[in-house]
Amino acid sequence: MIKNAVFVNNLTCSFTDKIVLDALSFVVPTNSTCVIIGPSGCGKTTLLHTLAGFIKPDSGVLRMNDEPVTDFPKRTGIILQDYALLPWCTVFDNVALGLKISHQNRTVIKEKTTALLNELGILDIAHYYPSQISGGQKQRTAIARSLNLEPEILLLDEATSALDAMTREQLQEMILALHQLKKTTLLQVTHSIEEAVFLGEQIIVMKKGGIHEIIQNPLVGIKAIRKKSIFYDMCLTVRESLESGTRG
Amino acid sequence: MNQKTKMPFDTLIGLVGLFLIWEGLYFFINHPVIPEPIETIRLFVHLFPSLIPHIFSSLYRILMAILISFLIGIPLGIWIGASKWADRLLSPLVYLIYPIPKVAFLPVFMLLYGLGDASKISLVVWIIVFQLILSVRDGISQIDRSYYQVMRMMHASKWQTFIYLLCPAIIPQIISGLRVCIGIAIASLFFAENYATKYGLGYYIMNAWSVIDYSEMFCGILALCLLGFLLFKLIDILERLLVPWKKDQ
Repeated sequence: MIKNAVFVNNLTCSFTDKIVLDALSFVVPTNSTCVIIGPSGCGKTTLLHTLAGFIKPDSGVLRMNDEPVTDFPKRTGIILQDYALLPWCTVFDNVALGLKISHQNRTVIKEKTTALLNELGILDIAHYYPSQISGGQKQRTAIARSLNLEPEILLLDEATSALDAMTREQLQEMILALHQLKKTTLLQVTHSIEEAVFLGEQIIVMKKGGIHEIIQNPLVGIKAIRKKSIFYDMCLTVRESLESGTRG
Repeated sequence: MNQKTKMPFDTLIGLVGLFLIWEGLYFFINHPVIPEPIETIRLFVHLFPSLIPHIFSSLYRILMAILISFLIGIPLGIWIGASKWADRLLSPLVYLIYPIPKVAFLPVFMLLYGLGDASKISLVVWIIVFQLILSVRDGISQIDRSYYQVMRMMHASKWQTFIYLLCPAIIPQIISGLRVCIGIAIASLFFAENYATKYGLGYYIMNAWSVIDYSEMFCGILALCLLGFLLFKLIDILERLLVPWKKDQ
């Protein structure tokens, strides 16, 4: 039986009197990828922050790795929109901080962090501060920081939105490769249709406060998919869903 | 021009500027109260050994006042910034006391702590500690929410959040607060050293004024300038050491 990494049932969330998430239900199977897409203000980030335990829902069932969400879920990582790298820590220290906090041995911290930085191609900037590196490097650092915690679920909040097109594509490929290598369940929020089709085995199309449609996408992981016409057919399907959701 | 050569050059420009302003004032005002700069600098070099005890007295009072203010102001600022109920309880009190011209409390401190250093240091502490509390409190409240979210992702305890997030985040605010504190401390100490003391630059300047020795009075002002300058440079060095992530911004 396929286990669910994320289980959401009848999730409702409101700020003062405004309902932001209205009776949402969906599941994300373990080791799969899911992308949440929708227009600005539809509640994508609120949903992700609720899954991360940053926002308390009004009602509904919310389970991550089969455990109810009360605080930030265990074995989970998050990459925030602005990366939130600590400005006073170097790239190395940002990535190593999670291990330091979990009282790991110094040698283990050094070895694990160095290996991860090397894997993500940012070892040469290990001693730089976040203010000295590019957006793409910041993103890699934020990914490395989350991966160093060995998460089973990785939450990404529009993590590539501030990057240029080529860097964005490179990082999407890297995220997918890491998912395949480390068997991490990915749940990403985005407003980019291409990113949703490239990364999401399951694409949740949101409309104001609710789910408009859940699209199953079999194209994820196919080599050079961006150069094939079926990729753009799927993009069109997502686009039409988004448009009908906005109209409806 | 690189950073290392730029700094002494900037300082040199500042000194030349100050000298020119002084020279201009001497020329245009043409009154004994503004002495001739080169003559005064010569006199300053000559009098420097006798100025040393006064410089050290003032320096001791300033450093003690800053140390005590740090010991009180930083924990209080962190507490007010991090705890909502502490903010609700103490912020109104700080707002009420902060604008009062606190130099007026010198007689109170003299009655409480005597005529020695304790009353002068207490006055300076009383003046600068509120500035420091507010700087630290603002530093805490300006920490981006996303940094707390990162600490939650790492399942950091309250103590770890304090060590890895709050402490480094408020260092720049403490340094800025320290700069303001030094300026205020020197100004208020000048006032405090006019009473019941025979040591300190405040005493030296006002004593020279009372005997109408304006050149010597200016030597005291020059020493006060030098003391302030050295303290500010010390803070710059401290900032480069403690806030290295800001140097290339």
